[in-house]
Amino acid sequence: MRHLLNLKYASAVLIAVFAIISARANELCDTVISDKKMPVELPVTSVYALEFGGASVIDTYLSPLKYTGSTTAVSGLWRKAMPFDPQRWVMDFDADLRFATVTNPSKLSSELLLSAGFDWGMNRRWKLPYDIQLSAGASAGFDAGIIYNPKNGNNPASAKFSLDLSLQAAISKRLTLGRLPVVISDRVSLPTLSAFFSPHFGESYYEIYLGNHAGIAHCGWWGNHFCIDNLLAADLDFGKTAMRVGYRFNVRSSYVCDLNTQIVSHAFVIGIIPHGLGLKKSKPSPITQRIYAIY
Amino acid sequence: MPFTKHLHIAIILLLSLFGVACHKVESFENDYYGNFDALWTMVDEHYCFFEQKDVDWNEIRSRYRDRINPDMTVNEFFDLLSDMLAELKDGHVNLSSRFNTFYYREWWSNYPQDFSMRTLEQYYLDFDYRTTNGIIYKVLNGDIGYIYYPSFSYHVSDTSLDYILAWFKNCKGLIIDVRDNGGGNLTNIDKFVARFIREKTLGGYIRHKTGKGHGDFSEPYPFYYEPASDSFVHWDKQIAVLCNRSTFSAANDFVSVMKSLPQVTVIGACTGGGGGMPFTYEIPIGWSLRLSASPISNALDESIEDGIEPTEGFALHAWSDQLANGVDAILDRAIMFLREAD
Repeated sequence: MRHLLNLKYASAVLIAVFAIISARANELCDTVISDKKMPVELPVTSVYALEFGGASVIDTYLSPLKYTGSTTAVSGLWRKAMPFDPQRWVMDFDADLRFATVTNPSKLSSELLLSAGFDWGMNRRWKLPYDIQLSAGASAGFDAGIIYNPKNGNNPASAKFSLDLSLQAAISKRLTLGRLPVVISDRVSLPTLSAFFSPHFGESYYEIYLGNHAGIAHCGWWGNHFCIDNLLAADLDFGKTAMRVGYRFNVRSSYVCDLNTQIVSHAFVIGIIPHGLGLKKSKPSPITQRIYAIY
Repeated sequence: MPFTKHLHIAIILLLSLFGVACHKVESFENDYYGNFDALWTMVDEHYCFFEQKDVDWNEIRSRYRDRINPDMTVNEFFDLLSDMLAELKDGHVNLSSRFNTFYYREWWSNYPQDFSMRTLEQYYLDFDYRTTNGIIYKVLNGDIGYIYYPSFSYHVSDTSLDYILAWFKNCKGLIIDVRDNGGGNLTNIDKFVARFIREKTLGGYIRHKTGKGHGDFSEPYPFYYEPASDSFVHWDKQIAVLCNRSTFSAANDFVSVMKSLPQVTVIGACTGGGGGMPFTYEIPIGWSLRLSASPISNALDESIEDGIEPTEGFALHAWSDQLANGVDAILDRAIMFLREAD
């Protein structure tokens, strides 16, 4: 639990640091961005990834015990520079589908977790010297899922649903490994204002089914609905395609009506970026300027 | 945006952290004391009948915790926890391990059984009856429809009910026998009741725990039954519901709502109760704990945890010696009543 609290502090400090740096970057980037008068292409950078790793689940509606096991996910990211100011503004769509199987400490009981999430975000970016890019912004999205414990009778499942407004921040750096262009990035998303579902402490879903919907929607903030998603990734640009390898750390937690939920996962990420990142160009186009959103 | 404005946002962000609460999940060691405390705490926070049953759970804790001996066997420890749970006198409370499951049985074992399946099949059904989805049904003596429903765990389909009630179309009355029915799925109650009502009917009230305190309950929430649409077969004539002490849980709820209908007479012995919807939890050793968590009351908002009495003037037993001789006094009384009521 202490780790989770530390995480809250760490993530807030991170966001704060980004805010301060972005202020300085704002002053710098205005001189970095050029104003070329040629047709501009704004390609969509798509990333499709598979994720494998470990997960732990505590949901006291189902059990007071911490369940541990494995998680698998498929995720997609679509990113594009915005036409109205492509050097500064980029738009993201994020989607993921996650599955986890976890068992209790005695290995006598298991839980299944299935969730899906979608986010739309808008980020301001600053291109700094040394091929460093910084971005910060916000996103809106939802996360829906269910934790199922087949051993339980009248409380076999815990449904999850939240609508989130999130703060986002990212930092990336372009470099080369030999002759291979690489973009190293770290991206944090921190849901900050949410509306989420939770039954009351001992409320059955049967009672909700009967029509008692009072008090099952809650307003969330870091104090009762703390979530964070951090993706550390390296994108290797082979030209016609690029590959992503990375590590994702994800926490979704809530504490409301004396019910405690903590879902933590660490996952290895491997993905593909069709059409590459545009870094490995044989020669630059004389007539078209391409502005990529990812760097 | 000027740098100072960004700085202000950053400071506000940092200050907001002071409002972030720490939400500790209580953890217990996987030893005898840890498992005892985990079980005691689970019951303390979630069990819903402490006040109604006037149980001093703190006193029980100290009495049983003192009996823990680190050298005791796992079986002895299981028995110790079982003995403590038996203090709740609740048929919905179970402790399940891989080698044993604790049940509190005195809610029915201290009472006459009032039912014999063998007697029913041999002397009343002549081993010749129709059955669908676990439901046994037959026309008795040419004019009384009889349904034996052994468990609410058996799914009841609308189609099956249509066939059954159509089979009884020339009968004067209907007997629904839920003796020895230990409960099951509450949604099966809806299927039955919908055939016996013509308008939306109050079934009872449900509450839930809103917190860990023994008296932390929500306001009672009324629940209603809707009549089946006219395309389904309805039954508007007299009904006798037969019950015994082993009529429990969802079957107890069924008797509760049926008793509130004007054309229904409940005949037999007081039901076994089980008016708390059970939830399942577990303790670190991996044993499952089931306990009453969400109380359900009848349409007058009276507790049904201790059972439901038959309709006044219709309380009787089917004694075992009579049953052995082929006489089911409760069923006989129901047949006689329905014929007289015609």
